[in-house]
Amino acid sequence: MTLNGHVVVDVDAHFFEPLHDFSNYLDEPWKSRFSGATRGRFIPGSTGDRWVGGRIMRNVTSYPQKDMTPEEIPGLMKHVGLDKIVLLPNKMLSFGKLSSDEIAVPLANGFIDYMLDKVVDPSEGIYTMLVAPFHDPEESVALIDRVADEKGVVALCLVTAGPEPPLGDRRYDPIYEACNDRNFPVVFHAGGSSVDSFFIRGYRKFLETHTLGFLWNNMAQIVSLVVQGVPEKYPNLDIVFQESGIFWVPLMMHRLDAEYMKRQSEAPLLTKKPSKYMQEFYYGTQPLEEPDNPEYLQQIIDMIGGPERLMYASDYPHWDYDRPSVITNMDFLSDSEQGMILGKTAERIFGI
Amino acid sequence: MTLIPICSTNDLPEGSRKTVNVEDTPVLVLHVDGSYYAIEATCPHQSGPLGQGIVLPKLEATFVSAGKRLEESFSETILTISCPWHGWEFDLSTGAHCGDSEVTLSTFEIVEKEGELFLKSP
Ligand code: FES
Repeated sequence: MTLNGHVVVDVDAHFFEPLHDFSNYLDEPWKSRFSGATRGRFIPGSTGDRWVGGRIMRNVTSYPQKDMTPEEIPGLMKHVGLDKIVLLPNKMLSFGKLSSDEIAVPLANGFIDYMLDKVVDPSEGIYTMLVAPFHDPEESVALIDRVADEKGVVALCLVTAGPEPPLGDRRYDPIYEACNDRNFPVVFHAGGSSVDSFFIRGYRKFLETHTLGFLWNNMAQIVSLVVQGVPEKYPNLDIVFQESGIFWVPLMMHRLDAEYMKRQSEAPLLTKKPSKYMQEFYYGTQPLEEPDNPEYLQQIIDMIGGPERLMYASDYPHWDYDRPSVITNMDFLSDSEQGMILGKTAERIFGI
Repeated sequence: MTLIPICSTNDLPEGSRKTVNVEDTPVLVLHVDGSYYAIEATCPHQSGPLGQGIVLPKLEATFVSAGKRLEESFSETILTISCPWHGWEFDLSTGAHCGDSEVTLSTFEIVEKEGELFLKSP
């Protein structure tokens, strides 16, 4: 397919898995529990009208009317203009809200088996990530050992909405260690189930709550990750943050630096300013901020560490998805820089 | 190189400090744990009085193994001084901010001659 001669890799799209189909990949008693369950009974969703009263539509997938089928994926890729796609099972985005590892561990195992059996097809450019049941680090490591070598599984995904304690806590070290040792990237992905906390606090419109809901979880986790020294403990780890746009990154870089300069002894593992670590992370671009003045975007990308830190993500078929043209519209980038963001960096980091 | 007289060793006993001027730049001279240190006395952050700051051994941490608490201890070799206004902390020997060596204050050598202390100015 390619765009302007560049391979287009979408590092974050979603597959809306039918529960009845998925439940076949669970062991008992969860298989029976799930097969009879109504949507949301075990996996919390979130409120809010994504479709703005019917104004936004998705014509090339069954979603939002129905769950998707694997057969829809090639059409989806063609519609967005993708050569390769990394699909996350959508319900897994609520993972942070699962209160119990009794549910999280079988679900994580079942989901990856389902995705590998029914959805993933590297020969067609279709990949997925392993969503970790971070509630139980030991089981997460066992799962990494079991599937990380699968060609169709490109990274570990930690959903940033929900984990307590936050993801820099040492209880998660074994997960990072396993990924570090295997050169298995870790993707931190915001999740929609967190947006409800803003509704509860009195926001009236989804516009308000969505502006903050995804963002603040990534902010919370990146602070923990950096200050607790995860990149120092595990220097080989490729760290990716997704689904909060990119303007928040310089905000957190400079805010963390200001704090760190005043309280360095509270982060004694760090050998440089927090922003320097953050300039070594990667960031999915969606939902990309589109300021009237493109120079602002250029400056933000400079502050983050340059176009080599970015990877194109569509988030399709979610309501606020981005097309690859958001990258090619950045005239201030060279052709090769656009190619890096559109796919080259993702191909290298995810080994696809 | 010039030697700038500071005071007699008797006037700077263990645990004491004083400020001298080196070409209009205030420099803090300290006598800590048997050694003399001299470091620019004005904090580069917002010009705070570094000379009034607390002196402590540098806090160091070692990552032992996954899931374990960091082993934290005070350095046996590095002393720091912290600006009392917002806490920027500097290595007394090198002048470097403990978190960002790109921010470094000038430090000077102190020499002792016949009971008198001198600051070596480049
Ligand atoms: S003025 Fe010294 S830390 Fe702010």
